[in-house]
Amino acid sequence: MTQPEHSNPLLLALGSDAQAVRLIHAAFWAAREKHRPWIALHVHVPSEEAADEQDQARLWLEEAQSLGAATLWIQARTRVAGLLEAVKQTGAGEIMMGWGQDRWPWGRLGHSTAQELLRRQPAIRITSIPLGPEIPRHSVFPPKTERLGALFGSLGILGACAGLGAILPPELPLPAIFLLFLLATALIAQRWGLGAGALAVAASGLIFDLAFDSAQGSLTVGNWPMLALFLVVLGGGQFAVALSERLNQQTRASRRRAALQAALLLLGRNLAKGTTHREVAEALNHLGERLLHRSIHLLLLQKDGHWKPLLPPGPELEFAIPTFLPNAQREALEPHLDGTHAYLPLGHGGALEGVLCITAHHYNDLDEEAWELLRGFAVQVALALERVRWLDTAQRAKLENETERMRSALLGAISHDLRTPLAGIQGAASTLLLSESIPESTRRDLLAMIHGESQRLTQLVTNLLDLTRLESGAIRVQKEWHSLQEVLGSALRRTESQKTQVEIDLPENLPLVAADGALLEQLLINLLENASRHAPGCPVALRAWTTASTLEIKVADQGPGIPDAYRTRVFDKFFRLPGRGQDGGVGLGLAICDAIAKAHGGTICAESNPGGGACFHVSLPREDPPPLPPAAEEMAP
Amino acid sequence: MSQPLILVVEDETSLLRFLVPSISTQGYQVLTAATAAQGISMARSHNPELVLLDLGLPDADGLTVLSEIRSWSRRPVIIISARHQEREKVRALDLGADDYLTKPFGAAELLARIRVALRHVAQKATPEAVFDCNGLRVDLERREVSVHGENTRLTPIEYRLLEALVRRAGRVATQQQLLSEVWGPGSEAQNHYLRIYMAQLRKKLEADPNRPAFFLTEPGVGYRLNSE
Repeated sequence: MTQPEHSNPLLLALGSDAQAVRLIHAAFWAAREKHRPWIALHVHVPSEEAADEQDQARLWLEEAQSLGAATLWIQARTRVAGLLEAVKQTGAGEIMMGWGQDRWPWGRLGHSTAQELLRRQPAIRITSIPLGPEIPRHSVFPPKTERLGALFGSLGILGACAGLGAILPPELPLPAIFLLFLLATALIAQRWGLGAGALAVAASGLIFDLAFDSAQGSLTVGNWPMLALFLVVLGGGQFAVALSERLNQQTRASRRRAALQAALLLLGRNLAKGTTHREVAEALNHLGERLLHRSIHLLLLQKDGHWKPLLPPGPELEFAIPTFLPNAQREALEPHLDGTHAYLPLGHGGALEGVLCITAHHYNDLDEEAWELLRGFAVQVALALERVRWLDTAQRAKLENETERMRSALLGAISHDLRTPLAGIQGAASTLLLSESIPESTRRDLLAMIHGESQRLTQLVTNLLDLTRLESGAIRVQKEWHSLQEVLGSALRRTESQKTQVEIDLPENLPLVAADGALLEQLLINLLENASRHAPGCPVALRAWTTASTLEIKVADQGPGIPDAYRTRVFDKFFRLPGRGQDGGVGLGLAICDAIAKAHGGTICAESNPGGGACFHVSLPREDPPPLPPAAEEMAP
Repeated sequence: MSQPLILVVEDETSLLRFLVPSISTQGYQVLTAATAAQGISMARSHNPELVLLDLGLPDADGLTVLSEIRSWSRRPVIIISARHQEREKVRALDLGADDYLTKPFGAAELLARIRVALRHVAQKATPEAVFDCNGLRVDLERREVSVHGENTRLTPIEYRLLEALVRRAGRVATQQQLLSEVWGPGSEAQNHYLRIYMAQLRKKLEADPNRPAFFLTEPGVGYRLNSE
């Protein structure tokens, strides 16, 4: 016990029965919570364990191993001796074991074993995991129709015997009829069980006595030896039936166990491929249909207390929303039966996180093996959900990283671009305030600088706001009919101060286009400013034309152009061509153009200009404008 | 009434610090109000020659101040609006505001708008029959249009459009106002009429229709006939 807690492994004592799944589940969570290694242990007591139980125990150890446990197989004369040996080998300070009402064997140690263990090794800590009672085999869904069926069926068979006996030629000896009834009762017993058989014996005795015995029509006890023989033969028959039945059951059970293991393995493989909740649900549903011939649905408990089905309901995908209230007391893996559906709650750290919803039209064949399989499914699904959650978290973390990186790049660019003009303004203004004897020319220079820098700041803030609003969808494109010539005229007026020579090539009668005038103007302004910034003093060529469905605009300059590698990146926010230095741009103009073109359902791209320089090509969708007003009065005045 | 009185309804002190000196150095008297309520009461008590009205006021919408003033006075009101307030701006103009300025604006622009608005008041008393500016001459009485001395023939609709702009020379005319004056009430939604006929006017009267010197576009609002 002097070892530090974290390196101290957790020992899990496993039995061979199906409840081991729950123990593995519990130990897995406990180990994860405490960040401790865990060891799954099976103590093999040769005198108590059959071969198939050993196989099963090995399977559970493998299962635990797949969940990150180390495994240990110890052969010992008694359980306690084996456990002590394991503690000695592993140095474990804590043993987890199941505790339940059943005698059977390893997963559920009785008090006595725990006490014995504590007596001999007082330093050990024992955590017992309460295991609920076994699921009752048939009592949950009493087969009402079966009982009625048994009654009518038995009566029918006996009636048929009586009828047959009546029409048989009278020469036949009584024993023949007796054998007929014997056959009938054996049939009934085999079909509906011993109880039905016993009743059938009594009934046949009565019928036989009444209808076929020597003194017909009277109830006598004269034939009691015959009746006794009846019972003896029937009893012997039943014994044989019971024996073969038991054999059958065992074979069936072992087959089903093998099937169960295979099914769990299959599910595990399928679930391992799933990376989303939906894929997990699909794998589960698929396997449920194949193995149990019923629909299994995964419903997740939302934070608001609602159940969210993971697959859309359909004719073949049937489920019902659980009616029970999700509360913490509901034990994970404890089935809940409700109307026509059964639910298996899935837990996560003690809290309910979802349920498996199983359609159960024929409850009576959802037997213990089926429940075992379903519980196995539930454990696997819970683990798969956990994995999905981790994947999700990892994904989100990655995304957040990316966003954070973007944000800091953005912040860096903005703060630099905001600070530079502010520093200029501040400096110039403080000079003006401080000294009184500034020559007039210097004073004007300083004022001009303040004016220019504040304009630049305004432009930057405006661009930033525009882009934010465009990208967040706060600006709705308000389409109206516009003449490109008019919008361009307005854009040219606003870029007049740059003294760029713009050569315009617009066709006569360029049709009106439906666009947001302010945004289209902004797009043109940004393209013109971009051209004059990168190719100062060079003429800019603007050409526009229409196709049947688009308006095409090309703005070409004769500057240094854009290297092929940056053709698409120039539309990124705050992207500036490397090596161009401070040219006054902040890298937002083209991003805004891109956003505006996209908001109109159009495109913008940078093309190579055959004459050198950059060329931006805008393409906007176009429709034919509405008809003109009636021109009746349009005569010359 | 030696110096025209201008009421500035504006709540931002930094803007006031720039507005008040630039107006008063040009020989106007200035009054300021920081809220809509104060603005309305000062407009009533002082009856200023012109009101500069910010649309974003702390206590009420600038539009309520405008309609209040318009209920008793026809004196010019110039709207000061932020960017992205195109709709409010147009509504104010349609409600009877005379012109607008979009923040940020310079002193030259502000004083030009004030001059035009006050001149227009003077013209209303004795309307001039002839508009003559930068080579464009429109004789409203004789219905004659000439550019640099050359007569131009216009269609009736083109002429009505030109007339509507001339009557507001220097001030903005909203699309709604032009549509309803030229094509009659009920045509306010047909702004494509306006685009086509403005293009025709420019083609006939402007030296370079791509770079109009007379018929300026006020994006999202309307048009302005340049009178400077």
